[in-house]
Amino acid sequence: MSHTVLICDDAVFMRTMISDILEESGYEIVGQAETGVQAIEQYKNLRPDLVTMDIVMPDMGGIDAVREITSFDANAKILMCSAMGQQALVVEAIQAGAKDFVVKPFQPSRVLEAVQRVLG
Amino acid sequence: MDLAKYAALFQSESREQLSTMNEELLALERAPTAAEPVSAVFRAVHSMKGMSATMGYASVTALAHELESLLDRVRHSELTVDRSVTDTLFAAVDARERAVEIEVAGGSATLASAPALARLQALAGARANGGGAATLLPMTTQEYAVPADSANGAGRAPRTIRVELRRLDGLTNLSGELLVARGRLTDVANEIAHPALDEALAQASRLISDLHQEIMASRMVPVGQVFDRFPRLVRDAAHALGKEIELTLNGREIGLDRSMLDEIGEPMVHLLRNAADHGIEQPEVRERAGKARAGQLTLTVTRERQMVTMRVEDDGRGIDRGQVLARARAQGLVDATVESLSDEELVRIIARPGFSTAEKITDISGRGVGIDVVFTRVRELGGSVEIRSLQGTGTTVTLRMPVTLAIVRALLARVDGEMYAVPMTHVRETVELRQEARRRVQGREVMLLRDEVVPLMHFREVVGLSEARFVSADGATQVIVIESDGRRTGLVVDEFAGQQDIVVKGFDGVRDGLALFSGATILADGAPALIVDVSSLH
Repeated sequence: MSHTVLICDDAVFMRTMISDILEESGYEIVGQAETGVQAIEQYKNLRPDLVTMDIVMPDMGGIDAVREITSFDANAKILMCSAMGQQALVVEAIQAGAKDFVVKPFQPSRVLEAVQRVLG
Repeated sequence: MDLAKYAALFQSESREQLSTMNEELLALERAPTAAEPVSAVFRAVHSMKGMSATMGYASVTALAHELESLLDRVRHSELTVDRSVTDTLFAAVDARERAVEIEVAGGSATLASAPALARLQALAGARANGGGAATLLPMTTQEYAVPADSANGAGRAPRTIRVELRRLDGLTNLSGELLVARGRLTDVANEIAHPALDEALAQASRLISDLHQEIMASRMVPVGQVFDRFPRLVRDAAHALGKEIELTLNGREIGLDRSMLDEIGEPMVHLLRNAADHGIEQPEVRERAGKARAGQLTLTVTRERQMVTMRVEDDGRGIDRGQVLARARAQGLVDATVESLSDEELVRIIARPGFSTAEKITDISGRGVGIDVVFTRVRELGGSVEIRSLQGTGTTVTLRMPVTLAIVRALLARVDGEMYAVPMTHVRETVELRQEARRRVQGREVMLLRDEVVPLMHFREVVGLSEARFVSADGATQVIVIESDGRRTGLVVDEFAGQQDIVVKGFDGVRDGLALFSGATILADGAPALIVDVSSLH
């Protein structure tokens, strides 16, 4: 059975690209969220195997969303996807409960490696 | 990974973000100490940085990076927002817009964006640690917090999917054809008159209507998608002219067919520039006239059933009718005896191609540069233009257009065996004209319509038929009373042939032929018909 994934990013462009990379490798994209608030809501409804999470998003940012999701489900598997220049925030995200991170611009192989590690 | 297929998506999303940036920068300019516009621009810039880096667009990424740095200094109160800061930010956003277009087209915008980049770097200040990116962004996510009510709303945002306009056009065309085919089917069913067939057809008919409505609804986009760049445009125009102008945009959420919106953007820019340039006066002039220093410019969009109205209103000096009249007399456009111009006559004169530009009337009258361009464009779209102007008080230009281009309701008329379609937007009424109601006034044929005298025009003459008169058996004449630019004309045709929804097809008119037709269509019975451009008939 394929793993289910929830993608959170405020840019359609990024969501489309991540979704394409993962779908090509047999993952099932069950939801897409544009904001931290949507991410939490969809996580509760969909209970995906994996979440990819952007850091800078409107209303609630990715790190707060990670905190909320992990407090709801301690076993949540969240992969941070952030643009260059946010290394300091990546550390904060890992402390908040994210399992790993990849840095934009994405290389599909890196994304897939990270996804496999997290689901490991 | 094949990046090419993401280029279009990148482009359309960047445009949205560029529009957000402009909007928020304008908000920042109005309230230089406000935190939210800075955060909002920052988010948009940041989002684009990730996207452009992924696409490998170096110049866009570099601009985004420097914009971030500058905004970061603003966020941390290391830099006070003044005119030079906002100007630099605006210039960077513009450079970025150009860079996106160049890079998406396959070029490199590194050189083109160098000046804007240098300006940003100069303002942001030299970076202490030689570009350690992490130090540029010591932000915490809390800074993005917004009031809870908008956060709740965001969770229920409708899910969307992007569709190429070409595909939507294809769907629209097909559903239009389906409407036409339905008409044909209905004709046949009426002949056969079979209850089971009628019932099945009625059901299919409803489904086709619903399908068509859904497809048309999916083409609707808020006018804000194009109009949101106007505040920026007016700001730039005002700065360049040394004027103070406040633009108010009403009804930006009103939906309009995407193709229609693309077409109307340019004429709107024209009208706004005109108002800023020639309508609204210099602040000192306004003060002397007892007006506020800042001119008010309002763009209001409203929708009424299948028509959308766009009104551009300024409180400037208005059109100088005396000057227009003098010019019109000199060019022989009005009788020498005419003493004043009504709004309708004014429109007719300034809408004449070349009238305004030929003699630089704008410089003396205060308005009119190429306004004929606007008229032409709006007419091609099946709309109308109205101008109300009061000298010293201001000018209002109102455009009325169908919400969608593709399908129009038309009155069909037969002339010499050929079918012609007249869009219903221009049809006032149809009249069966008796001989008693026809008159001759100053050599022109007219009809009496209640208390009004309406000039007559024979469609046979218009299309150049040798046999210019058609006499029906009972001696009555079929007349379509058409109206455009506030003027009525009785169009004499051979015979009315009912109303129909027609699918407007692109139409390459005969070269050097009559500019009489705005398009062509296929009727329910499969026969072709030309669509009459009513505004060309006066």
